[in-house]
Amino acid sequence: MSEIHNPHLYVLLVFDGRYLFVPQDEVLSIEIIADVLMTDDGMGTIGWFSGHGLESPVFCLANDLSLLSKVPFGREYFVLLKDEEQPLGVICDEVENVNFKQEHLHPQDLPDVMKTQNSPIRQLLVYQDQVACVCSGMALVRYLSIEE
Amino acid sequence: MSEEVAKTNRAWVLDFGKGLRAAVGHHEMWQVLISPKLFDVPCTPFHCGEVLIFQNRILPVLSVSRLFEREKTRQSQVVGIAIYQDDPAHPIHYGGLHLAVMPQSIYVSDDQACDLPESQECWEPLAVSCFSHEGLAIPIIDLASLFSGN
Repeated sequence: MSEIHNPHLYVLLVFDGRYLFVPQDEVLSIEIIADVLMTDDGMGTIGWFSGHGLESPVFCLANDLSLLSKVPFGREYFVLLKDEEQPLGVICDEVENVNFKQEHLHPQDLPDVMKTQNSPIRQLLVYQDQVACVCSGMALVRYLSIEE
Repeated sequence: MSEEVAKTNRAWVLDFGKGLRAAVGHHEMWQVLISPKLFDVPCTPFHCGEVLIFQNRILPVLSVSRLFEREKTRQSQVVGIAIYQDDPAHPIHYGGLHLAVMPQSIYVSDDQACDLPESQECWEPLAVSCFSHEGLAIPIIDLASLFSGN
């Protein structure tokens, strides 16, 4: 059975005060951090998750999207992003499903002057008095692969 | 008298700090905000990593002093809201500019035109012309180029 694509459905990842939206159909699952096998391999990952028949690297990001080598206190979940090769996890403080249409949210394209070559961010929007970023899951995976 | 008026235009002189001054047309500066709430956006250029919310739009806020000086200096709380168009047939865009002080409204006449001094060659990609004002050469800049990201 094929999945129904709804372009208005997003998953909100909150970490270190950063609000980041990813399309819901680019998210494989939301998992708990207790299921991550923590490692200290200095490769950018904080650990690995075994699930869905695959080994997935798990990353922890700071507010500026730089990689952290240790998980700050309070982060309990991670979002597993789809990828052709292997899913990839991003640890969060909070995760929420948001329907842009129902919430009357209107993303704006990232201004040209703010674009950089490796940025995964394509749009911005106002959400809960914050300016949130919108990424495609693929762009975030590519960004993390480069940062790694 | 009418000939003199025809040759005179109003402009804003913008002081970006660090001795960097430039002018824009009077119609190109929409408002000035004091201490607006700024939000940082990750993975952005050093000189344009902040946005503000203005009339339900999210606007980039650009620092000219960081663009040219490449130093992380403390920004003032004055932000000018500029208007620009990529092309006369395209819609207008808004953008924020960090300013050291409030903009100065002046009149400029054609006989004030001068060359851009070598000491201000950093403005060359953005300057459409230059004029002399109070003993200083002030470039008139193209805001569309400044906000183009090129």
